Amino acid sequence: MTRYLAGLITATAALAAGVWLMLAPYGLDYPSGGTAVQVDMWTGAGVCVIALATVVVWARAWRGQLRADGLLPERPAEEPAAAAEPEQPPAPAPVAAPTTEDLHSLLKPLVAALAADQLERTGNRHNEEDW
Amino acid sequence: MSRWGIAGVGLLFATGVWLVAAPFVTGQQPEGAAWTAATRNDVIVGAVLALLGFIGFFTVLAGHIADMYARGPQPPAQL
Repeated sequence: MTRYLAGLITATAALAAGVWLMLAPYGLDYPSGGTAVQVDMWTGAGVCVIALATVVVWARAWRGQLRADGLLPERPAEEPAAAAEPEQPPAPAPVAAPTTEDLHSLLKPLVAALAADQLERTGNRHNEEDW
Repeated sequence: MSRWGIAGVGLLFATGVWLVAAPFVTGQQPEGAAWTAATRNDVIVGAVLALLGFIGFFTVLAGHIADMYARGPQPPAQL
């Protein structure tokens, strides 16, 4: 852990120094157009770039080490091909063709009800004729 | 990965050294005259940067070697 922390602290302090170098010509009233302004601006910009790159490198290295030690969760695997395609609705399940037994079981109660109704009507007619 | 990090810290050290030398190399500091504000600033910031780079470089190196010792085969205990 020490090396990652040392790298990050060094690079962050260097970044602050680089920013100060770029501000110094204005803060300390350097003679305008002189060599000192050019040197400080270019060196400050270079220090900022190097320091930023170093911070990124150390941060990534530390994160990788933490993942390898199991202290950080693994990044979930990306599925670019599957994620790019839009989701299609699921295909409807094939409907099974009705069989003769299905038709019989469907019609049997209906026929029974009709027969009962018919019997009842016939019985009522006989009763009326008896009167 | 950490090779790039060590190289970055080494570059920061080199930039500090350049900053200390720059006022004299580029001729912005007249010879024999009192130091200008720009020269003083460059020398101080350069020295701080070089010191930071120096300490950072060897701290990183020491940490790297300590990790190598920790992960390497352990020596047998001596009685």
